[in-house]
Amino acid sequence: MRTPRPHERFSRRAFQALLALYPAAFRDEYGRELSLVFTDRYRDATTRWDRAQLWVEAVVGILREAPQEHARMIVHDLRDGCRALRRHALVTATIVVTLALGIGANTAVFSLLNAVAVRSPLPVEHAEQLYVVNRGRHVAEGAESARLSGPGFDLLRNSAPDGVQLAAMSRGVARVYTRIGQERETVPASLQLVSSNLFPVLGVPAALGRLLPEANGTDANQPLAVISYAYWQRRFGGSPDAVGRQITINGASFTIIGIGARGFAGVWLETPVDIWVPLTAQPIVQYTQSFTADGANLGRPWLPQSGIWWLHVVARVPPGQATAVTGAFNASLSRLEGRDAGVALQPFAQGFSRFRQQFSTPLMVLMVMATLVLLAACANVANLLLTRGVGRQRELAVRMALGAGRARVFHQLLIESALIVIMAGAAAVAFARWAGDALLRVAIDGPAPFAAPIDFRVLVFAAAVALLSVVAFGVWPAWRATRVDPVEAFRGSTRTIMGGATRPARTLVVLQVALSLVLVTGTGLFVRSFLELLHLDLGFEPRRVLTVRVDPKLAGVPARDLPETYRRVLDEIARVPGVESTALAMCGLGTCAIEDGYHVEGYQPRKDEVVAFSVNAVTPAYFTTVGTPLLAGRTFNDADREKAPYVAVVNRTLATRYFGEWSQAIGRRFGLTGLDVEIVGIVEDVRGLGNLKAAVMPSVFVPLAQRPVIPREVEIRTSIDPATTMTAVRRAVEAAAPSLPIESLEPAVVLVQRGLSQERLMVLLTSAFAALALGLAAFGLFGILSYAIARRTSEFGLRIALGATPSHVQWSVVRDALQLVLYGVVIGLPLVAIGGRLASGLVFGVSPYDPPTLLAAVLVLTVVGAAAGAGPARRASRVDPMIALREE
Amino acid sequence: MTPRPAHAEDPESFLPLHRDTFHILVSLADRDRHGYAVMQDVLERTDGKLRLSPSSLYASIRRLLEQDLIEELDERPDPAHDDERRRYYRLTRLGREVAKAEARRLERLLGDARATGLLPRRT
Repeated sequence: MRTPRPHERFSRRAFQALLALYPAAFRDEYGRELSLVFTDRYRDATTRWDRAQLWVEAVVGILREAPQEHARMIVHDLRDGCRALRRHALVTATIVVTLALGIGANTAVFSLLNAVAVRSPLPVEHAEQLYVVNRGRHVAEGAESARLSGPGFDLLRNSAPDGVQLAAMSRGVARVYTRIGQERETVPASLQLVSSNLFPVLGVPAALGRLLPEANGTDANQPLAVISYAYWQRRFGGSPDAVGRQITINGASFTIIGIGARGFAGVWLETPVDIWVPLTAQPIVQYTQSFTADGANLGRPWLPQSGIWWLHVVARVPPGQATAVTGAFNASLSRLEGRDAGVALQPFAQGFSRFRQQFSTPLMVLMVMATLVLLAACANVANLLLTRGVGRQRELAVRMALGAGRARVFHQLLIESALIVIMAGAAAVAFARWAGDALLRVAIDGPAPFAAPIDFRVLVFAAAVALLSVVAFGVWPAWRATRVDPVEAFRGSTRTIMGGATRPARTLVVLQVALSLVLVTGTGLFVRSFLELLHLDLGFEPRRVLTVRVDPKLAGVPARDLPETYRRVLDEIARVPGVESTALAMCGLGTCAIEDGYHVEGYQPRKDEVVAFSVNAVTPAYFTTVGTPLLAGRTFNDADREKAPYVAVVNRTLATRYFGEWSQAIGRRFGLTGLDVEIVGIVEDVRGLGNLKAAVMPSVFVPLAQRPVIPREVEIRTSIDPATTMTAVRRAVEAAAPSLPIESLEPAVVLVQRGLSQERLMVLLTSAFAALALGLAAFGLFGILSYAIARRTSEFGLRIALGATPSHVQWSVVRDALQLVLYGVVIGLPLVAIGGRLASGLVFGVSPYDPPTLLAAVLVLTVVGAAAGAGPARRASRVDPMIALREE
Repeated sequence: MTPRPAHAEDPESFLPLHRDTFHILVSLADRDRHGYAVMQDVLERTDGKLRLSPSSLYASIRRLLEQDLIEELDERPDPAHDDERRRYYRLTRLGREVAKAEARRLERLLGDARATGLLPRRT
């Protein structure tokens, strides 16, 4: 053999280094041959030019072929992986479904939380520079509670430091009735009153036309309107000639001067605005909602009055100036009011949302629960993989005996894991989309007013957690097992092979039981809370009441015709079969205007105490119609008319709070300016339907005849199911007043159900999560016990051979299961305590640490554990001793 | 190894062959050879026009092994090349049929070219 020359040796080594670009398996197979061929060619090359050519060929060849080999290997492994997964189709499907549910649930809940509480829905510039000006006790209630008067807004505008821009808008979004051109029917729309500079302050341009012009704040002769992009598309088909057209709003004519930017529909997350008009148009559109008043004349324009707080004031503050601006505003307002105004600037980047207020905490609790479910799912998958991995040792031993390297085996296992997680991820996306929509529908009880697109960050994160579990429990143990000599793997008994998987698997099952305890206990609490609310005494009889909301004045009925219109409507409704009585009210059941500044006879309020009542104006038949019991005194009668002495009926809460013993309230007096109202009756507390869990407010009912307000609610008492009278009542109203739009017509039970939407959501979801976790825990228990049986076959065979009865053997298996449940419960108890603290604000009428609920949860887990052990126990008791011992 | 589809027993299903593949099969038709010998043989028969690089040679060899057109023999030393132990390859029965089928296909093409006057007819 000729001795290679130094440059030949160097070239060969250099070529071998290049071979590192090939996959290891290809290198193992053909690397030596390739080196030999290259060396032969190199030796046969006689000139430098030939050698250079050879090198170029070799390098180009490797750069071309190596990636193809890698791709071929990945495709091959993917095909092999799919085949392997198909061979264990049931286990694979279980893993994929389990992971998909865990990942999908997390994604759905987090996406919703993101849309509601985290992401900014305001498509405005530099939203972080926007603040709401809030003050006094409303600061603690949140930005949505802020309120200022017209003069207060002017004062702030005049005292604002340079660079600070202020705008104002009505606190409420009003429902109005519009007509365009020659339309005969009015069409409802949503309207908000705004200062002319609201759009520039927010940073929202016009899509077409112009925005509201700068105007003198008290000039009422500016019937101009800006409509939203969505409304423009909906009502005008996106036609450019919408600008300049006339639109009638609540009977008054406005000129449309512009269209708002696409994607902007106001600052309320769940209430898109269709039309914006100037603040000065308040009396023209008859806006009379979402306000507090003190010593004001509600019948005169609101903007100039300092006693009506009806505006949200928004400030755009340059970075770093918030503190200075707060100080300046506080100084101005405090000077005006003669006391510390307690001004605060509250962030406005995310706009306003009632949904956020109501559902932020429940969504976060759900987020925690969904995470627990994901962990339980990963634990289950880990168990499945561990126990399956045990069976795979032989398969991997065969592969290695046939020449597969460890790296190749590892690569194949990784591909399988990736396939599982990809399938689970795809299923999770579909599940998350469905779950997110369903969640929103249940929460809002109707079509969703905003979108909650899938947040792919959380999907990727959850999938990463899943992948980690799969790799940690599927790939790692299996790969480690390849260190064992293949012959040993073949020879090893089932017992020794499976022994390695038992302890981690048992630990995982115990963890699953602990997680299940938390979820089941949580569900129990929410179910009990829901049942408490369902059986709550609402203070009226919802099953016999139908509520109708109308607004004759807004629909254009002249003021002098109102009494006659109402009389006709009530007479017609009274003629409907099944109707027992009717009544009128200013506001709906349990939801009314809050008025403060009252003085009560013999009661001295504390220094910072505000005496505030919920006030409703009703006709005499109101209490018997809605079924609110009279506790003492009398209700109203025809003598309580306009010029008669003022009287009121109060609720139990008010009577107790201000007069000690509630029966002492009869004959006592209260009032705003003086003590001019006499209490003639006391009724039971009526729960606020908007928030049944909240404490009942002190409430005052006054005769409608003694209050100059337009009643908007017709309450109807029926002797039969109210739902069956809806069509007849609608026809009666239409017959009595054909042009009177019915805003809503629904049985009171529907209103109550809507008020329970948050609780219903929690019950539904926690039940679903708990059921899922329980199922996973049961599955995990079943699996671990089954494999334990297989491991202990010879032991059971020996015991039976020595005389143990089947029931004795069964009990030993079930005892094993119950032991795991016990460990899980012990670990789960501290987690339950932590969870209780988290959920304390969400439950009603039951302590978050309620012992019976916890006991019931433990019982459920015990039953599930015993049931999971039943199958394996039966199998163990049927082991044939001879077969078992022979196998060993 | 990639499983062969059932119809792969039919030599026609492998046609048309890649140029390099055909030359390798032809090279193994008369005797067993190792990799470098195949490379040399192809170079000679094509008058130096087709020089297989080591990478493409072994990529083709791997494919042919998977398709069961060639088979590996035990390693044995080659005195012509430093007596180093090298892996020898041989045509399988299927490989021989496939090579013949390709040769017949090329012959048909040649016949067509002669028939249309593209190439002079055989005398």
